[in-house]
Amino acid sequence: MQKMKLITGVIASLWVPQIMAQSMDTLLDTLAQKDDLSVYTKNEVAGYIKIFTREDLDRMKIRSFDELIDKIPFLRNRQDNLGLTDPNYKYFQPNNPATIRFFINDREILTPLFGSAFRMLGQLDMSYIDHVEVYHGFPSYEISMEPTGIIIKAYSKVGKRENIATLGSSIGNYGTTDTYGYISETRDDYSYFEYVNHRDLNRAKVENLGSELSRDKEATSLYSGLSNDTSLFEVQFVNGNLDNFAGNSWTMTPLNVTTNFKYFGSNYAYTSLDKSLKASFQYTYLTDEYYDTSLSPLGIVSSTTAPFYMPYYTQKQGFTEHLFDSQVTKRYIFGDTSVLVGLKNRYKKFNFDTNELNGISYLQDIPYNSEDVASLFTEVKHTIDDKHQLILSLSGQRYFEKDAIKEDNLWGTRLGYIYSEGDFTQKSFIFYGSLHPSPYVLLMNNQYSLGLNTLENEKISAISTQSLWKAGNSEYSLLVSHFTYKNQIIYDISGYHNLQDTLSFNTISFTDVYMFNNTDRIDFNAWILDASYDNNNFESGGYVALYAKFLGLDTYNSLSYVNGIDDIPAGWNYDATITYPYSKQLSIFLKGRNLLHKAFKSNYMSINPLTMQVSTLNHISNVDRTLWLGFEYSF
Amino acid sequence: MKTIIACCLSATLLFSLDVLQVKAQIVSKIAHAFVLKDIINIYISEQDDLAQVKGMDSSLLYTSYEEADIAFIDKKRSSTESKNERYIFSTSYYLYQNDPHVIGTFFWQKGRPTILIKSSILKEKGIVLPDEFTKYEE
Repeated sequence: MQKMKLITGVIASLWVPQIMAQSMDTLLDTLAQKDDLSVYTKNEVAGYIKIFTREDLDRMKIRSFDELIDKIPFLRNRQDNLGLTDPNYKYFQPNNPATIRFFINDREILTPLFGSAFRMLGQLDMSYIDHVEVYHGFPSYEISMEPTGIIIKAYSKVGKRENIATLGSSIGNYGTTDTYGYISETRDDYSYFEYVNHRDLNRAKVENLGSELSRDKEATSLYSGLSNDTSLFEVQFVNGNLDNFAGNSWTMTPLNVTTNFKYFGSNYAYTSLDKSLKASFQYTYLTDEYYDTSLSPLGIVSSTTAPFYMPYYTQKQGFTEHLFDSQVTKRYIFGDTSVLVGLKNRYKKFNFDTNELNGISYLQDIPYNSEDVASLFTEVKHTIDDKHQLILSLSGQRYFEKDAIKEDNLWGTRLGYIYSEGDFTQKSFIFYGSLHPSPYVLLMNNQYSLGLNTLENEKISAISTQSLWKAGNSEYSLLVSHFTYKNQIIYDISGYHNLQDTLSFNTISFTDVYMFNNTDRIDFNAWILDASYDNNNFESGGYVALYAKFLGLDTYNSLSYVNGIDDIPAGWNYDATITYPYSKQLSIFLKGRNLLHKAFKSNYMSINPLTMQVSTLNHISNVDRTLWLGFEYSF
Repeated sequence: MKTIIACCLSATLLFSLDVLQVKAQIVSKIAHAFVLKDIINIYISEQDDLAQVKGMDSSLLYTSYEEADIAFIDKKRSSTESKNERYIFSTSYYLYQNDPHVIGTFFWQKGRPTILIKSSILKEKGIVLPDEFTKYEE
């Protein structure tokens, strides 16, 4: 201990003269950066991490989660045929819930039936978020006990860091309006943060054969967080009304296609003061109603008269879903080894409330209406010396299914090695694991195949390494990985199948963050992905982002790029924000998205299964060219 | 065990020193702005996170609340104590708003560290702060 005090004293004495001359403003700027909330929440050894700090998000005046996708290597900001955010969208293919998982604090945002709810919330408000961490490359089970490729972990603002009431409002072109307000305060032993938002997002319409396709979204959101040093109790409610673009129309000519949903999420999370024990209990309730009516058929339904089927032109489906999550992790230390043990149970319950085709109810009692997942994991970290660390993780899941759905056992393992010396760090991980299909895919597969087709789990093997180093004002990162994807589940006209070929991917991502000073910096990233599907697909992308203060203005400029695919040209997305702090209380901002109008576009396709006629909708912009003008007033 | 603790401590130490040194300097600047002495008697509540800066600046002598020239508190103290002549800073905005004896606050607001000082008390006591503090007066 004497030695530690001596080291502290020496380093302190070296530091004090350096910062003595700094102004109070500079000191506060430095503290804002070094003591950002992400410093306390990030988990460096959990994988490869990219952080969007509170200051980054403030400068971007970020409006929705999908804006972050441009800065996540290997992903593309695109939307599916329902107009929902889905970076991995491919025609007709099932959404794999395990590809991207989405958390707010320790609460996974998912729909029990379909999987990740990133699609649902991707374009909705996020002004209640403090910072976001993105973990790549099959992160630690400590963050998500169910395996996943990418985790987007957003953290809400907390009362003890806010201590203010704020009202913000903005308008955008196409008639978009957004208004939010929050109050927050710290009392002696606890703090609270209460937030409300209403967004009416209007987007560019797409004309197709006389139909107007809309991706408008309107939602009212409430978030409430109560926290102290060890506990967080949070409640979130979202009431949304989404226009679903092309819907399920065979010729993509919908007359009206919408989803109304109500999401209620609650969570209690406990962390002991020494961080060795964590427990959380989560309950989610979701109800949604999908309505689709089209000029062309949406599907066919069996009939008692020849030809024993008939097309339907209207569809109304309603679901109610419940999710009960409980999780506990405990860390033990034995000498130079720490052992983390985790237990989790996730119970998903889902019901079809409505299933009307052409106004006739076809609601059936579907026995498969729940899934229970029990998970167990352990992570052993062994510190060889002050430079070398070994990490071994093992995970097992038991999927308890109902009716004819086969029960399943999954296991996964992750081996890591971290070397650090001075300003250089090397992280390397080997991962092997399996991904379980969503209940929706299992249910549909069972119904289409009359219980005859069994899907195998998708299996992933990955090896990856990342070098991190500092030189001068720059922080560099080079990430290289190779992974294989076996048994990928695909959908075609005959139903769901496992892909026979094993896909393989090679990726490289390079990042440089150059700090001009405490407040200004430029970020650069470039990535390539070489995939073995579609006759060796090569993808590339990257971005340059400048965060700078000058002439009393806060500015953000970002240019991102993704290469073209098929006949879709390369995407260049230029976003910019200027914030003018009129006074301590009032700031005004002007924000532009896709200012060059060259952001990546999407193609859509639909097939009439009776005639095999193909309908296409090409080069639809995923990001509208949008201008926002807004203010924020604090009191 | 020693290695793992040493690694954790040194990582925490390097990070914490960074943050703590900045906090220590802010505390020192505030103290020297109010108290015109070479060595200032200062009190920081033990329970407050800010107490970790103790011993990082040789011009600040950490004392009891009663002996302090300037005190940083996070909870309301008894009215008897509050009547003593010393500058009281809080690390709680709630306390700053609700305790008339608190002259200033160093806390987090809207995700940023912030300083606020009550100009009414400055006028009442005839205190003139260095120019760089003017923007924090309200």
